Amino acid sequence: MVGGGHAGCEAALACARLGFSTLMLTGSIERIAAMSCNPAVGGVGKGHLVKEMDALGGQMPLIADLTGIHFRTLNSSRGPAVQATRCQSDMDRYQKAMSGVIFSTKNLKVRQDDVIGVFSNDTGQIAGVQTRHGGNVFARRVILTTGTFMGGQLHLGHQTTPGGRAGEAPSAGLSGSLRNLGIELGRLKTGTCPRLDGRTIRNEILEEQLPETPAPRFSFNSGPPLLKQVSCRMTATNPQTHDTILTAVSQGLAPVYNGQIGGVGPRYCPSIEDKVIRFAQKESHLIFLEPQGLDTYEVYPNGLSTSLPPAVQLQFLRTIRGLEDVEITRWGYAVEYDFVIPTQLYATLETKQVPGLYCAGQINGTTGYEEAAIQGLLAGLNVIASLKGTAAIVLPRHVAYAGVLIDDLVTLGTDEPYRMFTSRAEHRLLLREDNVYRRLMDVGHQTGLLEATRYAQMQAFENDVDAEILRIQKARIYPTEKVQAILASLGSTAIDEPMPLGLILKRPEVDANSIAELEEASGGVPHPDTRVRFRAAVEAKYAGYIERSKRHLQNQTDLEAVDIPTFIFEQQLSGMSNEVFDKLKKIRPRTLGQASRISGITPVAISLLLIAIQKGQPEK
Amino acid sequence: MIALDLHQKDTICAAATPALPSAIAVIRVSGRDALLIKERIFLPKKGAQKFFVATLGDITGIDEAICVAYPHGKSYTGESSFELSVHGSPIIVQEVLKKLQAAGCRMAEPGEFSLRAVLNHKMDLCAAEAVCDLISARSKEAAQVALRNVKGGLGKFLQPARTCIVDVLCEMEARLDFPDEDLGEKQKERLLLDMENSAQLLQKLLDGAELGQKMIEGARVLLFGLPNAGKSTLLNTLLGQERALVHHLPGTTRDVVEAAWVIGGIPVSLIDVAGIRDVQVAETVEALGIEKAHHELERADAILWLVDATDQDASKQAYLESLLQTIQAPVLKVFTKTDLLQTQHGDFEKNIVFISAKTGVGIKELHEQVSHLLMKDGSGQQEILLTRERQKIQVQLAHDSLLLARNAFQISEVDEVVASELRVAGEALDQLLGKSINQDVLDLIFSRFCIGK
Repeated sequence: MVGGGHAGCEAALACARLGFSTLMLTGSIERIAAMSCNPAVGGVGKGHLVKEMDALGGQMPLIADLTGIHFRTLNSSRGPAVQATRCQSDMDRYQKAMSGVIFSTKNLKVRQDDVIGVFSNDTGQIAGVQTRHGGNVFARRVILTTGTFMGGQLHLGHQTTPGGRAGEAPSAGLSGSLRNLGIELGRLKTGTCPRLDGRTIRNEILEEQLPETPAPRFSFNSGPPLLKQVSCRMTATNPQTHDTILTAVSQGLAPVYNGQIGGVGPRYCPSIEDKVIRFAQKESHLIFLEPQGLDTYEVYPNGLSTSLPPAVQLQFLRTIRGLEDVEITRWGYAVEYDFVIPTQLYATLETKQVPGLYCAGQINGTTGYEEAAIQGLLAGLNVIASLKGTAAIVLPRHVAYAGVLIDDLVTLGTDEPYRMFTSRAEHRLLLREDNVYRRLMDVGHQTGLLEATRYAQMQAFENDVDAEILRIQKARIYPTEKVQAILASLGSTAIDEPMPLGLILKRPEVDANSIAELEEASGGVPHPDTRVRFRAAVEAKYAGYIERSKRHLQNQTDLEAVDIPTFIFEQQLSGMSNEVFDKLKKIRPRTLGQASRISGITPVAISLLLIAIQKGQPEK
Repeated sequence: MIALDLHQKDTICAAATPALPSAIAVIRVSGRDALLIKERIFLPKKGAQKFFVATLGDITGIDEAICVAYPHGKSYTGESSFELSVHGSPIIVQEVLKKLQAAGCRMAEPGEFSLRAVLNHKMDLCAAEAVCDLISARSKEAAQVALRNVKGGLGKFLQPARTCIVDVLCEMEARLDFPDEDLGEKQKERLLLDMENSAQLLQKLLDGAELGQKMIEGARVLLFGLPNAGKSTLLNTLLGQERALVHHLPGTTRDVVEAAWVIGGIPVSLIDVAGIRDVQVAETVEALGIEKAHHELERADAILWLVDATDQDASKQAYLESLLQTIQAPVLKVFTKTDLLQTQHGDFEKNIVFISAKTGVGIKELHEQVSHLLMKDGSGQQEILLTRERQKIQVQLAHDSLLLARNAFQISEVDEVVASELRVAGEALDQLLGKSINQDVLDLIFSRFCIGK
C-alpha cells in the first residue's frame, strides 16, 4: 500500500482484515488519514458514498460518526434520493482515531518511507516498489494511493515549491517510473482555503447554523454522538472583497491567471478568484465558517479556496462581515499534481499495463475524501479477490454510487478533478441513502469484510422494512379532527372517509416523515423505529416512480449482462471502423453496457460486438 | 435499434415475402409473446392450435388466413413464432400488420429476424457474416441518413426540445446537488411552459410520422353520401376514367369500388361504396352493400360527404350525420351538381366545398381540401422527418416522459422524480442525436451557477 490517506487506509484495512499480509508505506506516519482540506465528511452524493462503505464494511463511516461535531441532513426538504448526511469532523480526532485502527489491525504493518518507483517481473506482472531508504520491497500486489503527492507542486502567490501538502515533500520519481511502465499521466490542480484564528472572528454578529438533533449518522449501529456538538457560522463576500481580489488579479498576482499553474482545476469548487472573475455579475458568495475541532480555535472558511499572495488573502478576508479583525493561521494555496489517466484502469482499479498494480483515490483524478476512500476499499477488495481467484467486485451503476464513480472514471476518464454528484447517476431514484443496506449488504457479506453480526442486524432491519411496507398499505387513517388538522397543515385536502395510509402517502405534499404523526392522530400505533418507518414510507410513496425507473433500467442491464471476452480486442471485426476499434482496444470494456457508454461507440458497433461474442472465439 | 433489444423482449412482425401484389403473402411473427398474440388475433380456441385456416379480423373479417405456429426452438428465429399466409394484396397485408401491432407486436427492423436467428444459434457462421454485412451496410446508410438528419432536419427539429430538457434539468440538478449554494428559486411557470412547448414540438414530429406512414402505406378516402348523391360520378371525374358505373337510379353502386389516386404526394385509395340509406327500404343486395359501406366508414382516413345541392331536404341527411358523429376521421362536406343550381352559392367555407363534376367547377378546390384534410391541421407544415420505427419509438418515449415530468412538476412532486422522467426523455433524444445528456447538464450547471463549496 503506497500512501496512508483516506484511500490508503480503507485499502490497507480491507486487505489486512481479509487475512493478507499488508504493508502501508507512508511519507509521514503522523499524517495518516489527515484531512488536508475541509474538516467535513459527507454531503450530497458523498454522504451516499460513505453509507455505501458502511454496508461494505469500510472504516470511514465509523470514524466519521465517532469524531463528528456537527451532523446535518442536507436536502431534508427535498425527495429521499437526494437527502444526504454530512458532518463536521474534529480533524485531529478523526486522524488519530483512524491511525489508531490502522495500528491495531492484525496483518497490517506501517512503515515511514518514500516510494520512488515500482517495478515488474519478467512477465510484466508487478513485483514491488523501490523506497528511498529501505531499498526494494517485494509484493504480489501494489496499490498506489498517492493523492496529490505525485509530482506535487504548491503555489502560494508567486512562490512555487515542490510539495504534496503544505509542509510535506512530494513523492518524486514515481511519475517517471510509471511512465516507464507505459502508464500515461495527466496534470490536475486543486486548492484549499486559508485557515482562520477563530478567536478573531466576530461570531456574535454572524448567522448561526445549528447541528441537527437528533444527529443523523453514517453508520448502521452508531448511537448519539459522543463529542460535544457545535455550530457553524455563515457570512458572505461583498463588492469590496471582489474589488480587492480583482485588483490583485489585474496586477498579475494570481497563479491561476498569470500562467503559473497549468493543471486543470475543478469547475465546481473554484478558487475565490475564479468565482469573482467568472461570475462577475454575482455580488456576493456564501462563506461557511467551520470549526476544525474541539481542541483548536482554527476555523475553515468554506468557499474561499485561493492561491493569491498572503498579503492579499488577509486583505480580502478583512473586508468580509465578521472577519474585520481576522488573523490567518495558515495560508491558502493551490497544488498541482500528476494523476493516472483513469481510462487505463479496469473497473477493478487494476492498471491494464501492469497486472497486479492498482490505483485508488486522487491519483485517479478524483477529489474528496469520500471518493478516495471508497476507491481504496474497492481496490482492496479486488486485490484480495484476485489473490484468492474469486470473482472481481464491480458494482453496477444502478446498485451503487461507487459503481457510477468507477465506471465514469474508467470508461470516460476525466479532465478535471472528479467529484460525485447525484446527477451523475442515471438511476438516482434507486440509489438512496435509506436503501443502502438493501443494495450492498450482501456484497459486504460475501467479501467477508462486513462483520457477521452487523450483517444479521442489517438483514433484520430490511425484513422489518418489508413488513412495514405491507402494513402501511393496509393501515387505515380515520377522518378525525387531529388528522384533518395535520393534513391541512401540510396543505393537503381533508379526507371524508377512512383511507389507507399508503394512499394518503402518495400525495406529493405528504412527506415520508409525517406518517407517524398521522397514524397517532388517527388512533393507530406507528412503527417504533424512525428509520424503518422512513425507509418503508419512501418505498411505498415512490413505488410507482421506482418501478418506472427499474423498467428503464431493464434495457441497460441486458447489455451489462454480456461480458466481452478479450479476443474481441485482438482483431478488428469486419464492418467496424478504425476509430471504434481503437477506442475499444484502449478502454477494454468489461461488458457491452460499458462499451455502449464509451463516447463514439455506436449502436451498430454494439450489434457487431454482440454477434461476434455470440459466435465465440474464431478457431486459430 | 437492434442492439438494445438483447433479450428480444419485443415480439416483432413483418411481411416475409417481398413485392406486392402477389398471389400469397407470408407474414412472420416472432418473439416471446407470439403465441399470446396469435390468440388475440384469432378466437382463443382457434388460436391455440398449431395449424389452421381461419378468418382474420373482426366479424367482418380481413381475409381467410392459413396459420402455422412454431414452438420455441423450432422456428427460423428459434423463438416462439407463427406465420400467416394471406392473399397477396397490399391492403390485406397492411391491415394484418396493423392488427398485429394493435395486438402487441412491433414492426421488425431490417435484418432483425436473421439477427435473432444468429443469437439463438439457429443460423450458421457463414450466414452470420451475412448478417454482419447487412448491419454494417445499414450503418453506412444509417450514418448517411443520420448525418443528413442531424445536419439538417431532425437534429434541428429536436434541438429545441433537448435544450429545454437540459435547461430544466440544470435548474433542478443544481439545486439538488448543491443545497448549500445560494441559487435563488426556480422559475416554475416558465419551466412548465417550456416543457409544454417541447412536448408539443415532439407531438408535431409524431404527427408527421403518421403522415410519413400514410405516404408509404397510403390513405383511404371514402366517398360517402345518400344514394345518387354523385359519388361514382365524382370518382370517375377524379380518376379521369369510367371506373364506376354511373346511373341516375339511386342504389346503382352495391359493391365496394376501390381506385388508386395520388394527392399531395400521398397515395390514396378512393373508396366508392353504396349510398347509405335506411337498410329497411333497400333490397337485399343493396343492403349488403350498405353494410360494407359502414365497415368502410370505420377504416377511412378521410371522408368526403357528398350532398346533392339540388336536394334541399335536410332531413334526409340526418341519418348520415348521426353516423358520421361516431367516426374519428375528418369529414369534408361536398355539395355536388352545383351546375344545376339556380342561385349562386356564397363564399367557400372551411370543410365545405361546392363542385360540379359536369363542368369541373370546384374540383381544384376539392383537391386542395382533401390534401389538407389528410395532412390533419390543414397547414401541411408538419415535418416529415421520422422515417424509421426506431426513431418514432424514441421520440414517442421522449414525448411521453416529458409530459409525465411536466405533470409531476405541476403537482409539486419532488424534483428527483421530475428529473428522473426528464432524463428518460433526454436519453431517448440522445439515442437519435448521439449526445450525452449527463455531461451537458453538468456543463450548463457550472456555466450558469457559481458552485463554490
